[in-house]
Amino acid sequence: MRGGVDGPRPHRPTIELLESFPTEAQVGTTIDFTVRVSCHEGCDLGGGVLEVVDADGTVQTSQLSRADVEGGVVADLSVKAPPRTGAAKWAIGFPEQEIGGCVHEEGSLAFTCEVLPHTTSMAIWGVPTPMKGSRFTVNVGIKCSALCPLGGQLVEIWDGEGVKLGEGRLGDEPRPDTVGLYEGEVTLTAPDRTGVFSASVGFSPDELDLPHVDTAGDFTFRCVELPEHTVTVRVVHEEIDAPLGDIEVRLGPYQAMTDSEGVAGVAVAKGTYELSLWRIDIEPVSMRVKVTGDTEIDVAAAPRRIVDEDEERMWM
Amino acid sequence: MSKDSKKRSISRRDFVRQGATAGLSGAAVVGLAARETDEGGSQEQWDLTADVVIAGAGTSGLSAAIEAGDLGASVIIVEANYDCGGHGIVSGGRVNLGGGTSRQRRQGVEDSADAVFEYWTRPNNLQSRYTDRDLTRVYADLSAETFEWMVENGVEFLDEAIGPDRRNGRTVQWPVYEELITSYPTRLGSGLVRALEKSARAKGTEILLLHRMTDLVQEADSKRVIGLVTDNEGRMVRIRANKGVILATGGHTSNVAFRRMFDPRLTEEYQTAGEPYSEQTADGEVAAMKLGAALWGTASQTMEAGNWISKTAHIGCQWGYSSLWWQPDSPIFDKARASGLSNVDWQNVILVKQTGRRFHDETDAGHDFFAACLSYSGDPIKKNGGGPIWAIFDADAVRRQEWDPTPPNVDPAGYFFGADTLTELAGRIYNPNQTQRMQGGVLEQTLARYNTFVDQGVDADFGKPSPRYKIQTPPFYAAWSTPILHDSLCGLRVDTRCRVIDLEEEVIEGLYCVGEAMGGFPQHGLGRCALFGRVAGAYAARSA
Ligand SMILES: Cc1cc2nc3c(=O)[nH]c(=O)nc-3n(C[C@H](O)[C@H](O)[C@H](O)COP(=O)(O)OP(=O)(O)OC[C@H]3O[C@@H](n4cnc5c(N)ncnc54)[C@H](O)[C@@H]3O)c2cc1C
Ligand SMILES: [Zn+2]
Ligand SMILES: [Zn+2]
Repeated sequence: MRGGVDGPRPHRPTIELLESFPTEAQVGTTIDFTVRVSCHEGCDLGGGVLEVVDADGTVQTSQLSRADVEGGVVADLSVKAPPRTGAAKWAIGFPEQEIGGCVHEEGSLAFTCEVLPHTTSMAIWGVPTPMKGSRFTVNVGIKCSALCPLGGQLVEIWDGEGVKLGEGRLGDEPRPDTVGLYEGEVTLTAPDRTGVFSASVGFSPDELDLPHVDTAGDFTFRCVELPEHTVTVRVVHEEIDAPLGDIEVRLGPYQAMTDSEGVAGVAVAKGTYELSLWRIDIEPVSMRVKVTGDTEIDVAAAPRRIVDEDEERMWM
Repeated sequence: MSKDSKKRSISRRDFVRQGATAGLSGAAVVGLAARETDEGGSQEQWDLTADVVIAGAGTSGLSAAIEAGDLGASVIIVEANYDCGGHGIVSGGRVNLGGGTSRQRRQGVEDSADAVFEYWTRPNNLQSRYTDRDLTRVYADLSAETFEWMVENGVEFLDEAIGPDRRNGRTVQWPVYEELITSYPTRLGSGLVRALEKSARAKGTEILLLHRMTDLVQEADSKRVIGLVTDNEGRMVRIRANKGVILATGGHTSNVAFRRMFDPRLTEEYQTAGEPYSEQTADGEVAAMKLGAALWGTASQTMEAGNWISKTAHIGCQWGYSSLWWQPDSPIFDKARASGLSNVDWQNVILVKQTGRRFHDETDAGHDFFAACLSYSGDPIKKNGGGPIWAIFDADAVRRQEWDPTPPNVDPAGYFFGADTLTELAGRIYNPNQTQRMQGGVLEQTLARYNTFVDQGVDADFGKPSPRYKIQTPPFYAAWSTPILHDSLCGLRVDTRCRVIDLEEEVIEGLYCVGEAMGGFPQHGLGRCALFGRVAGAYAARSA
């Protein structure tokens, strides 16, 4: 320590960020970072005090605790992004303090970050194939990037011309099997004609504590003719003549599942359809069927062939 | 290039003096301290010596060892892996050998060597169109005999003659569970290679595991190959071969630089079947090419047929090759990490490139499909290769498929992701080969458009037949579904004795090549690898 007329000079600390502070963060989120403070004269600054000051002047005090391998002492700190968007500023201050018998000058380091709103994203599901003119529902789920509770928020559905078709509110609990996806149901009326129609879903949250970006999504649905006839499809195992249940039976846009007797009654309008059967363990079946009245159809399905590509490809 | 030629000139200088001591004495393997003195008095050190030295203890190397041993030669096999078997031990064990085997006769199948030759030289079939007919004749003539030879060496077969040509039959899975690398669903090839390994060892073959051949050693004057250098976990071990060195290193598919010579599209995102147990490193080809060896039959490598590429049958894991379904009981499952989701009905998923865009009918599995997978991904920096292909599906698909999308079925370390919305899913996808981030908006648009095709019953973009299911119900998933590579269908040029031929069409004396590292007879697998292994083993053992 250098002596002098005025007594020993205070030591000067160096303050640095160990990893770069993020340039962007979302409102209200926590930003973790690590600061290292070292003394030019090599003092152990363990136990020293740091202050983190935010733009509102709030001061948070921490202690330098961990020795760093490259010298100096580090503190693991965290700050919270403010609840408003725009540039945010913080300063870390090392107040003048005596450590190890020496006075250390004050020092500081400032850093900034652009604070952004939370983003939201959407899923639209449960879209049925409604009969023309009928009422039907679709499910809409919204998720906030920071997992904000979104219960009670409004979702709205419009048609291609901007006419509102319906609206609904998100439930209070996230959907099971998801992490923070809030779902709601919207009831709509199908157009009075057949065809494929498109609609848009919008979500512009309000009254949330923090700012959020809106989100929107599109979906289509197919509107079908009112059914007039029942096609009764009976599915049996090709080899053993046993009924096959749980088979998805489709006639064009109409569908039903077979019961334990292997029977599905599909209500359809007059017309010619592709009849197809599907279950994971059977070979897909498909045939053309013309429906002019109530009809019964027996179909034999074979177990799905597991293909060993080595066998297939040993030869062309 | 200059690095290689330097290395070569060093070995040339080192072995100039070896010329005088060519034709070294005993067949016996000598100990680590064995030294041989040349006439100049300086010493050249070989750590080990045998008549025949083989690189690779897979299907072809073990076959060569048995044949050479039967003819009285001493044999050392150096094997890079920690255990024997190569691709053979994880293979399905369908062995193609016909021409009138006892098995065929029992099944009432009439066959002959001529019929085999004719079959493998058909011009109207891509796999047989480009074969080297001299090699095909060897295959035809030794086919039946090689089958009986396998039986004599302890390989058990199911009594069958299957496949369109009725020359196939499966081996019986090796009965010792602890000696399998994977057992499920059935890895019958273990019954072939473990039996061959047992027979080779019984006949005196010494197998040095964890010894990777790094170079061949050539005599300066004669250019004869007189040995090889191996790396045994950082230690260099030099092995002298009195009669010949046989390259049985199993092909090149895992070597990205090498495979791209035949097809620039095959960049690093494409995985190789058989990994992570054994790699097809092209070590044999590269070592021989440094000595001037020629490649052969490269048309077979790029023909749009055969088993060099396939659609993943198990998705959401790194290696989803159809018949090789890694299960947690495998001793190397820590490397394979996941089994994948299997039995995929391609109506339940869509396939997208790394951009999040669809590119082809998902139900196709032919070469048009592969070409679309490998097509330009839109990445201005990495223009070659098609980038990762992801299968995108929803909770409804999981239910229909009866999948459990959790580890160890799937590999969250870069090969499987789940999320509550498509935007979130796109943001989560990362993989070393994903060179651009997938944009959530693009993925959403792709799905919205596809779901409309389901409503319309027609895929207006790629003609997927009657798109069946909307992908809409959360959670959503992305599973690695990038096509996987397999066979090496070309390799080093050899003559009918499996001696390696150089670019001047001269034999490189003392050097043989067999198995998938050999070019000219691009049959898938075990039959030809064992057969030509025997040919090389026999000629090497008999050579002066
Ligand atoms: C999943 C799967 C299923 C298959 N199913 C069948 C089937 O049913 N029927 C069929 O006919 N074929 C099948 N095959 C193909 C067949 O297994 C291979 O074609 C055959 O095993 C190749 O024999 P090989 O001796 O050339 O190579 P491999 O059997 O792979 O042996 C090569 C050996 O060389 C070693 N090696 C590599 N480099 C070095 C080096 N520098 N130094 C020392 N050692 C080295 C490797 O570690 C390996 O052990 C299948 C392959 C796979 C992966
Ligand atoms: Zn100090
Ligand atoms: Zn939020």
